[in-house]
Amino acid sequence: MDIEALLTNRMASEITDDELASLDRQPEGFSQLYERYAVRIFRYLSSRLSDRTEAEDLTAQVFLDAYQRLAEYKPRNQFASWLFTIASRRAADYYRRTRQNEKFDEDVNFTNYSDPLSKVMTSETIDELSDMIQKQSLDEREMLRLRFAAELSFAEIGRVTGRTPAAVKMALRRCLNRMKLSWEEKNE
Amino acid sequence: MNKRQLGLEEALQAYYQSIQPGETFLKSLGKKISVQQFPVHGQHTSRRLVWGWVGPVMLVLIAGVLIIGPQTVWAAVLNLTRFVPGFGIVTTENIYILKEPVTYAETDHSLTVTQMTLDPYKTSLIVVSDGFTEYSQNFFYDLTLKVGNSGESYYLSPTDVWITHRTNGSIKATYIFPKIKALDADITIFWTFKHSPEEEAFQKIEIPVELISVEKGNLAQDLPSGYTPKVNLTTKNGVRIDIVNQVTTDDTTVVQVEFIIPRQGSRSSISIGNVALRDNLGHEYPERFTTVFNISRTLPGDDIDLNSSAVKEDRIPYILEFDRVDPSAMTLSLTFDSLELILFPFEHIQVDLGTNPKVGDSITLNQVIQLGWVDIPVTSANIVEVTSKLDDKIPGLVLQTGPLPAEIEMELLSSYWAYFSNQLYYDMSYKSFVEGWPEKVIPTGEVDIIIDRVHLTIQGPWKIEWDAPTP
Repeated sequence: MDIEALLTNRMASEITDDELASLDRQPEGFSQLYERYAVRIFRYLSSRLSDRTEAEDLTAQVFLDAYQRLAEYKPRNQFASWLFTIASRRAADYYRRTRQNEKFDEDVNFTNYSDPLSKVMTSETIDELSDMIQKQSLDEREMLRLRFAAELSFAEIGRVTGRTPAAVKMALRRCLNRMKLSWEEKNE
Repeated sequence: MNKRQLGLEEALQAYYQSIQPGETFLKSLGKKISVQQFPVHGQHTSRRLVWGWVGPVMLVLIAGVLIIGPQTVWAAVLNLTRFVPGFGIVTTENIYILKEPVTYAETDHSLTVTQMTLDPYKTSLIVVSDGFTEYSQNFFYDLTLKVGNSGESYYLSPTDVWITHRTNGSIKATYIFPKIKALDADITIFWTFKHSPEEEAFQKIEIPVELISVEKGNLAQDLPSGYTPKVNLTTKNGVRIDIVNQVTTDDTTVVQVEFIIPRQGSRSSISIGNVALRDNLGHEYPERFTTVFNISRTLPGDDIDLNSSAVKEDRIPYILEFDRVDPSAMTLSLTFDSLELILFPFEHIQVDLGTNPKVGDSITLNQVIQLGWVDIPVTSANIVEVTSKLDDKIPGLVLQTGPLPAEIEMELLSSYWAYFSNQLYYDMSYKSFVEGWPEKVIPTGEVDIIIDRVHLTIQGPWKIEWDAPTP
């Protein structure tokens, strides 16, 4: 099977991740997966690390890992979870390697390198939002990143984090409700 | 748009999604993936061909042996490759090796970089250490490569590590790292460790290394034709050992061995304990270096079908280098006392921590992890107190295994909880890697533990004998 065969009578977007993964390292198949996930992986890693260059390096390593481990991937419609689990591991390895404790490492304040953000929020609001995120627990921050930077579903976040989808939903809801109180207070 | 009237979720979405990777970076990485810089071997790449140049070389060898006989094939393979003392057989294209061994020495401990190779797909490193405390040896897994100068350096973590304790007390560590991006960059072995838990600060060792092209100087030798013995197989504890080839140069005897193990769910690596080469005249030849290739996979028997997925065995090739054997020896034997395997089983274990988990809890599991042909019973998950890297007491979790066969020892090198804030610690009291929670909050309910990497030691000995080639 190759990508040409998969594309017979179908658009590229209709091919599932599992079908592309089953092409087993054929460059065309893996390139498609890369195109689907590169930006989201980068966003996720950037939001977890304080260094953009490191985030780029880790993004490359995540795709190299995924490429090398593709044979281990069991096609169960869980490619995104599998890939983000690798990314999460890579980020954890980064902290181990650099002997930093993630607990003391601030999430990135995107205002440092984000022009689009300034078009929808004032710098004051961005700072407030950043502060609110920092006040959440490590686990909650991770769920926020997986939800809003990686754009994963509750079920996918559950697979990356070892929780049931319902537990993810509940934990995120609690976190967002708490943040919402503070957000509305500041926006009144 | 009114900048102040976004809902929280909209604001979070805008916040997190505002960061974008650079176009240049995206395109450059995409190009590497789509064209050539990942280890891809053409349109019909099978999963058995992913190990860089090792796959093609070994498959040429194996397929060729069946068709045209071993000696001819060995010679043909050597035309494509060269032998690097201390490392084994490498392809000659774009390979860089260590110019000379480099040693860092203090009065009571030393670290020597004995060999390093860099190819388009990976970087390999062999380090021999002496005199380090048992505690500090745990940090061998943390050794990194620092690439570039101080202003623009980056660090590479190993993707594979084999630690072998030698009979003389030294420790050999073999590392596989990702490829190094810039060949002209400064490369430094960077290692931080503590001699004991009581030490407050980490010690740091930095060893700069110099690499040269494999074709420069006399470092890479052409080998004469090899010899494949007729009786060449031994089996014990599920592991078969095959002597594939023996080559003798003016001062070296090189033996190519294959370890054949039942197929694993994923790739595996092998490391050998002590090895001895003896002849019928009573000589024992000192081992100089060993070389590990990554795994290659073949089908059982003679049925070579590259497109079949019916792979039943993993064949892991090794090159062993000894002092030259006595040409008058009639028979040779190799003895291995133990084998160490690093397996990547990706087995899941569900643990229900309950509603109020606390240190001291023991959750009965009675599950079995299948590591190829070895069944590992996991009897319980225990919540324990471990010491974090900040020397803080935090809760962690260890898996308790049931009785194992006498010849099997197991160490869990890495599992992950699929839970974000946990971190991995080596805990001396449990002699195990432990997942701990730095925030000191133990998760509740069911968690999914993924057994990521397991270190399996299988005791031998394996002894294999063969007729020496006639001079």
